[in-house]
Amino acid sequence: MNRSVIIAAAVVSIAALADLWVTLRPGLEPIPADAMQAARAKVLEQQKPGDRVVHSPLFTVRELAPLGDLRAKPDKPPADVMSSRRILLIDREDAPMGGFAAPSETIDLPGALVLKIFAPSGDGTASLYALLTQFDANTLHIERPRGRVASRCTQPRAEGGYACPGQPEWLYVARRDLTIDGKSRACLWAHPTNGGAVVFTIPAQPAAPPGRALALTVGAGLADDAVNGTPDGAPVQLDVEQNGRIGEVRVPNRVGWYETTATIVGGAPAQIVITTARDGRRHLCVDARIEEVRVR
Amino acid sequence: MKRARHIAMVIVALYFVVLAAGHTSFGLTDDDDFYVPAGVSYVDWIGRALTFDREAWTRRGVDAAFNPNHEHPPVAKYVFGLCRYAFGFLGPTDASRMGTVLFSTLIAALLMWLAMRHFGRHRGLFVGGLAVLFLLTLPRFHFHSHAATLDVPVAAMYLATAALALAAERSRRAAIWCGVVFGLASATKLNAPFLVVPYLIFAFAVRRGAGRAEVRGGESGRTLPLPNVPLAAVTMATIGPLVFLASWPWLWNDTVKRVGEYVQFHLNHYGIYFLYFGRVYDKAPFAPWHAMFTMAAITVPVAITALALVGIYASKGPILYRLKHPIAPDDDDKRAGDLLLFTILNAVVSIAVVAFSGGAKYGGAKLFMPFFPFWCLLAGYGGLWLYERAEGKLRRVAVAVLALALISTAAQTIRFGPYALSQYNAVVGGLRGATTTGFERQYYDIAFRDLVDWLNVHAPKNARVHFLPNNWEYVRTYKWYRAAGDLRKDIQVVNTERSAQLVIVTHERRFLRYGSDLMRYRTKEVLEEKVIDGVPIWTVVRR
Repeated sequence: MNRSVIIAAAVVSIAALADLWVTLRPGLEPIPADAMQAARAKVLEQQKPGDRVVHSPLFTVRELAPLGDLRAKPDKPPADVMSSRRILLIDREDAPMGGFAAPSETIDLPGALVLKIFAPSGDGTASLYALLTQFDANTLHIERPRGRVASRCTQPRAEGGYACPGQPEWLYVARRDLTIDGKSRACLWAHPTNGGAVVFTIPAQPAAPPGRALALTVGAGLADDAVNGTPDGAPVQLDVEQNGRIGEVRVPNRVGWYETTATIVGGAPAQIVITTARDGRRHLCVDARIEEVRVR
Repeated sequence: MKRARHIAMVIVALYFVVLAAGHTSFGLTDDDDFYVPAGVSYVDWIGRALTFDREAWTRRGVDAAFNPNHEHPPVAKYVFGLCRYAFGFLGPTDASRMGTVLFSTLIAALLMWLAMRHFGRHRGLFVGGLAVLFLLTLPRFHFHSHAATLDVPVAAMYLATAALALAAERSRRAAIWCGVVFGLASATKLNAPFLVVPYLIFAFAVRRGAGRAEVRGGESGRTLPLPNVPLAAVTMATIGPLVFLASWPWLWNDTVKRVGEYVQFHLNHYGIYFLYFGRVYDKAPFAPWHAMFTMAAITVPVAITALALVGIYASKGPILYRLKHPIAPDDDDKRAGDLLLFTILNAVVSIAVVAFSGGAKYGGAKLFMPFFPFWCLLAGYGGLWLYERAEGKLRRVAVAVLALALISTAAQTIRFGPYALSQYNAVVGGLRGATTTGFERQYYDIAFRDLVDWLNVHAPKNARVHFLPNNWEYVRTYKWYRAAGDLRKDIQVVNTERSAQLVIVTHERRFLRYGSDLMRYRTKEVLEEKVIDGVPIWTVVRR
């Protein structure tokens, strides 16, 4: 009987001591600015088009300062991105970030830093951006007339999303669930307006690596009741632009979801410009996503 | 017996005093702003109703009072509302939040009561005392014991119902009260009705093979066996729903429609961001079933879990004895077997309900608060087993091991204090390891008091402050600090980042914009930074 007591006592003691250790251990040594500057220089030296740069979530804002404008985030990229892109990870050697496979290359840096490079794990399609979940206060603005910004939709709404100061209350961006083609669809409210344009801006994405391209898919549809209740409703035009028009979606006054896909370049934002001749009951909903695909 | 009872009361009183003493150091969560005003509205209505204000009893009066936060049932909010008046000297939110301290203390009392009733006075005191001390030092439960939310209250009401259901095995009066308390528990939060699952399994298991009622046929002499339905099950099914409806005036009008809305709200609960192994879950399909078990495994101090596992191992004998002897005399062995079996069933079900429900999973350990009292009770029993089985000099070793277990859990609670929702155990490498593995370093949008203190001292006159990435939650909580005089009157939390002088980054990775926010502010002047275990929690930067 004493044997099981000894085992249990040992297990509990080890558990307690392990917890005590992680509770009472000292904090991490701060990363000196010159070490972080060296990390930045090494990343710039190693970086190729399409690479994702990740940094440890343990870095403080002070420690991150020497990274300057280097595009690097503390988020572990999704599996599809890791499958298609090289990942450069600025990590702490003494507290490494988890969730990655073995690096293809490890470069020691000054201080407690290390740069790990992960080769793409596959060549599938990678989702880079989803308008529905990533829209923010910089996403929508109203132009009236077309080309002149009348309002930037930055004002948080109590119901979620952003209103456009100085504009009618039905002009806003927010997630909605509308019945389109008989099915509930989550999308962003995008009511067009007479004499102007509703403009969604999609932020610039890193350029795709060689052999791959960025595909922007834009979809839109009118709510079924807006179509059925407005027999003379006007069609809605969505122009997809990036340094000029690169695609369009024309949404007729018919039930359904309409989509187009256009190839975009990295490093520049894209826009969806929405117009209509008559905005009466044009309960339009849009969605857009950017995927990195293999060039055939 | 009297002395044991006095000691038990002292332990429970100590539990209350420790919670109450630290109460005002815990920051407001994003839920307090929902439940505190709702509680005040409900209690004001009760005051009007009891003084026969005719308007109070009209549909308009009832709906106006109970519309705030009507998606959740009211019992905990009644207590928050009452505490607002009883502890008014603490300020508007801390007074209401004392209600949760009371619920938490009720758990401590119930643990002592259950242990002493089922293990005898000395052994029960040992088990109950350890369980209460573990619960007191369980960092995340300790935090939740201060928030005006429904999670600790439902844990208390769930345990109260479980205790009465168990007592109902030996008392008709307890069976009647079980129905009443079950109704009140169901009117606290949706976790409570799931108690029926472990209870029915328990009732079936302990009655299996026991004598059952039967109806003898007339001339044929044939018998019709009747199921041996426990009285508590009957009262839970009959009195329970009546109490549930009676205690929630919102359901008095449009009853069917509103009950339907209540159920639908929880069946289709909106997604809440949850970072799990580096991936953010915010909509269906929600985080996988193992997320809740993982959260328990990496947040409950390992010593408690080790002792609880010892307790489960040690329960084997009493439970098997109980199951093999359904009609044995009601001695200590039978009572111990009852409690241990019921405790294990409830510990499993209270967490499995969340894990397998298919609903939204979020908020660290918040959703399965009813699990913790049962787990601590098992840890207490594990401690007793260790102590009793150790012979000779080993007994001193056993005492030392239990002391070490308590010290290690208490150390975590003291170390993290108001930052208890950032605590992780050694399994995942502490907070630092959890952050690098892809778990959230904090949740609940806590408006930390030390940040408020810092702002009071260092923010410029008429400072405009903006939080990133989720400012809207702090707009709601900081208004309470201003109202209570905890925050300087001239400091404003502003809606737009552009108009702010100070930006506070709260380092919550579950928000997709966090990485971009961090990138934009990394070169700005840092005025103050809260770092725990090498992990930044919040940073104040000059815009």
